[in-house]
Amino acid sequence: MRLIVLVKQTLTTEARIALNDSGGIEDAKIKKVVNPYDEFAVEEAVQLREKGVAEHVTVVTVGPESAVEASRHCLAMGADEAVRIDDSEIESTDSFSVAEVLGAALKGMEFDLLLAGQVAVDDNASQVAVRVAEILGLPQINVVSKIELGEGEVTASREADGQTEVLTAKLPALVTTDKGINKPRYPTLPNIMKAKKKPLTIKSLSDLGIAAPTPKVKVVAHTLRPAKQGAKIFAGTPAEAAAQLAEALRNEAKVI
Amino acid sequence: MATDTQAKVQGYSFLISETDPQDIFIPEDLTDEHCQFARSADEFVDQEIMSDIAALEKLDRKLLTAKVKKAGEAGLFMIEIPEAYGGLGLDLISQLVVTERIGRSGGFSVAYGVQTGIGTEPILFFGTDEQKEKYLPKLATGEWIGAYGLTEPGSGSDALTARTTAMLSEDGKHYVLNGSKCFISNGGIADLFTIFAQVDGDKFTGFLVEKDMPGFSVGAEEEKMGIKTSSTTMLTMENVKVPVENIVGEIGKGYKIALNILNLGRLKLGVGAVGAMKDALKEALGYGAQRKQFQTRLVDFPLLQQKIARMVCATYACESMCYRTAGVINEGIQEASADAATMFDNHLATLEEFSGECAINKAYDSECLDMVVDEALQIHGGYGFIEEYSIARQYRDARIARIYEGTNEINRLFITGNLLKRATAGRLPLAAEMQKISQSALGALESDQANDGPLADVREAVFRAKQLFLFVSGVVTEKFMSDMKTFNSQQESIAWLAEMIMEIYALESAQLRAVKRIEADDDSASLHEDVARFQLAESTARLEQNAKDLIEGHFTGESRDANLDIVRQLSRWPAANRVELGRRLAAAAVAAEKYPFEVVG
Repeated sequence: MRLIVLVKQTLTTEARIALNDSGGIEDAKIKKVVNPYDEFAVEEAVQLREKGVAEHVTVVTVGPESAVEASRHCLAMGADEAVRIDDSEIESTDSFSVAEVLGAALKGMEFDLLLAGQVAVDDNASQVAVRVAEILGLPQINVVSKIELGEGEVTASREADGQTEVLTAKLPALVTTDKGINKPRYPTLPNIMKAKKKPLTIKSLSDLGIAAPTPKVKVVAHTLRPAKQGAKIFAGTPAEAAAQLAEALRNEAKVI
Repeated sequence: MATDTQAKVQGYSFLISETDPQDIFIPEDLTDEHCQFARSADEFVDQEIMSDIAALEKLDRKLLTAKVKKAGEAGLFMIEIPEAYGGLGLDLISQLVVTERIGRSGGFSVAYGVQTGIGTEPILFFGTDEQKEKYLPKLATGEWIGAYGLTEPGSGSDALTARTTAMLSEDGKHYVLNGSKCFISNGGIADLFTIFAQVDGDKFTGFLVEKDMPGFSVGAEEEKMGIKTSSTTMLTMENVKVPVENIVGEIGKGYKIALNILNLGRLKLGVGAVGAMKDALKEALGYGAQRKQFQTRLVDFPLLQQKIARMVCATYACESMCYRTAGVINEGIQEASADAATMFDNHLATLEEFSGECAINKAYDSECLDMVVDEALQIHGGYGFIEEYSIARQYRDARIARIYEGTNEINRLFITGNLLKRATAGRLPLAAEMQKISQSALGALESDQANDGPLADVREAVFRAKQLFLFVSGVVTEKFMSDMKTFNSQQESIAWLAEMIMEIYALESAQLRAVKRIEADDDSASLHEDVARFQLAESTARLEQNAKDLIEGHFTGESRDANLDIVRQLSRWPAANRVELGRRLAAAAVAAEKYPFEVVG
């Protein structure tokens, strides 16, 4: 059984975001990591291979040259092979465009189960994986906390309102992982060394035989969250303070 | 002063020649792979050590053993062991980046350092093929834990006079060991010990002793002031029969092991201190950013910013020195590895060549660490004195670094003694350079360097610092170098000279790194400039004090005044505004919430 994991490189959630002169995110100096939800998917895939129910794990990433670090990280976690699709020809990497590109790439690849994180921590869109499944006509089970592979099918559990839903889908299928499904391992030194010998292929859109998709979403502007204002304390008797508060809510904050 | 930068770098040659910034290895030269190793070690420390630190600090041998095994699984012991013996056969830089990361794990870093250092290296460098095959794969995976027994109740710094004895059995198959060892790190958890004993009373020899050999026993745990996670015990040997094939190296040549192993250990201790400094700084910045007094964050008070700047600067200087030293040693080792037959001998020769630099890193870095943890604790105010905050542990853990791997006092005597010995033996043209200075008219002591290029002022200061050292050491040693007896009675002067040597290495390493970054158009080039100038202010004040003490300690009357005049002339250092520099350095550290020159993200 062959597994493919979709992986995105994201900024760390602790990163302090700053905007550059052209209004984009200044990310040259920010530490980049594998999207933590995708890491759960990679860990799950590697565990399935270690248990002997899967034979081969490939991680597929759409990203710039620097995303090779994410590919290497997954290889060092235990994936067998990595593919990076270079995104330099894609005008805007919105969920639609990335899903189109991945869909085209996956059509040429052999797999039984497609895994991905249920969300990426940078845009919180939860779009790409489900769109890819739609493009490929795959059944999908999302936000799962447990995966079991059976003969020609996958069974996965998801938490819903304190209940557990157990769903089964015919393979090939997509399953997206939630946090808590496992504890991703960190790459050990021997595995970092082994990863260097594993295949890491870079593909361009022309390698995939497609033209750059026309994005559906255009980023108009980025704005930073306004700086936190200190709390305001109204003095006086409770009645006076309440009156001042109401006044401020109406005229300053304009919320009532 | 020699300006031929093409000449091969020798131990101490930095004192008498100029170095091209492009020729030194700096942390920014670390490869992606080195950074991956560092991050792996970081994950290990966070997930396995820091998550359990409270339990580990109570010293639970079982838990500590389990953690050492975990480190083995993570491949952290395999770095320097050749692939043929189950290791990864990686370079020294890889070992250093990992050792630096482990450095913040307090007592665990001791267990780590012993396993990868004195627990493994005697076999790696001096073992027979059989010993390597038998033990190295086990040490590489952590299946076995190593330790090293040199110190005895009666001999610490004076290690070669150990009293433990080894007598050959009548059948000639065993040596029978008797005696005791103390302060043995990993004592309570180790499986294999390199034990030093006197064969026939005076032939100091290393033996590989397994913990299960009858007559070998491990004492109770010492209650220590710091590094409480680590195991430290006595060892007692009562008629322990050790097979003759377990001798490490040659009979009577144990000193070779003991002395050579120390070199690398000292460099590793230095880089571990750098890791601990970064951690203490981060702790101070974290606390200082959230704690407010007078409605102001602590990190916004200029007086505390000055402390932060000193911490950043010391970390930068030590980090620069460690990686510079590792760079030259690594180069020597890589060259030596071309021929497998002489590989280990050549490795040892390289380590011996740079033994002075290793000792500098040990003494200087451990003292900087002490300053850094002290100021980090001070920034915590009263909370720093409460065990609930991690800085109290970091403060206690730092203290041992000045004591083990040779006390800093022993290292000072070594740094100067070793230099003078080499000069006498003709290994280094030091005397000629001293002569040049003492014969020069003062006017001729001016720099012959072009006064431009990046950080020309700091470069000029480095030049003057070397002139100052050569002048002072020249006139002072002339008075006491005549025989070794007098030499040994001049310990204060020897130590002050060592301090000058260390300070020059620190200042120059910081300057060279900064220039290399400026030449590489680093985004933070101006911050590198600031830190180099801050170090200039720190180093020159100490250099001048040492020079003055040395002259006043050896001369009186007119000759004293004349020599002090020269010291003053040479000490016309370029100005550095510590207020402005300090505020900028602190601002960078506060914004980054950590050491602002960190290379590994």
